Amino acid sequence: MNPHSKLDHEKLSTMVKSKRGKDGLRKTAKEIGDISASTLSRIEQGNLPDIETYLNLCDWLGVSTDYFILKKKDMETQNTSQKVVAHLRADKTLDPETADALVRMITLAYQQANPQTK
Amino acid sequence: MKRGFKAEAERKSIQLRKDMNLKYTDKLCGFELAQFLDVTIKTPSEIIGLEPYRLHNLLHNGKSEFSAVVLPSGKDSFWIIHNPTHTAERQQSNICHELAHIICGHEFSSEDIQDLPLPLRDFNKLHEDEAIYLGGCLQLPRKALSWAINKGMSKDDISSYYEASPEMVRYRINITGLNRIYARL
Repeated sequence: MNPHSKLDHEKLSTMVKSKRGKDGLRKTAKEIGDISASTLSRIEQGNLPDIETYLNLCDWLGVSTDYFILKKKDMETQNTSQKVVAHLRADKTLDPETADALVRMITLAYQQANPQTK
Repeated sequence: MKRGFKAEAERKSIQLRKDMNLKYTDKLCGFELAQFLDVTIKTPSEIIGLEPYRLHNLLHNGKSEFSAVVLPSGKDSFWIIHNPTHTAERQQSNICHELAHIICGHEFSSEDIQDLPLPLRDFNKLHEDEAIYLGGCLQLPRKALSWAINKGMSKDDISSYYEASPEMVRYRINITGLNRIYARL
């Protein structure tokens, strides 16, 4: 791994919490697979997962494994998805969950609007 | 804003009405204008593959934060994804604002945008100001506003006739200087 990269554990925990919503930890842990409810809870508190757990989480969240990797450049400037949202017609202080939902929606919509570029 | 931009924006909004066989005093529906300009309007629930919890966020908890987004579609067209949970007046203003960016030809830039497969419009204050002004003109051209006021319409009447929010009506009356001419308002 690039020594200048880090995991954006805040983004990860926010997304996990958001997707879990009102479901219980045990139910969600079962859905994700190979993870205990207590580990899931620790991840939501911001603790780093081990590699296998990380891969299962990315799968469950529907994102690539790159998604939470912060390159040095990102760490120096604003978080990418927050910067993206600054370019949209929306309020400037954006909630990270909304930023995540917007980025995901835009990514999917772009594919839909430009099927020839897949 | 560039010199002459405001006058040009007013002219454009009248010309577009003419091109759409509308009178200058008619309401211009943002959705119809989009259709006229071959711009596709979508809502988040029409985006295939968007997870229900993310959709829920955009339409509920995040609803005040998401108004509209423009994406390129093919070489020379666009999609606008807008928030359908906003009021009708707000939706009109959201759509007209994004169409204003398209009409002005504001470029998309891909600088510094990672994680996304597409270029997005950079936050450019001048472009935002232009889109705000033209968007307002599209909804309420000065000529139409002047006609409405002369007819004796109140701000509320104007708001409902043109499907514009009271804030938009107030903003347009002030920015066009009509507030000075029509003191009763």
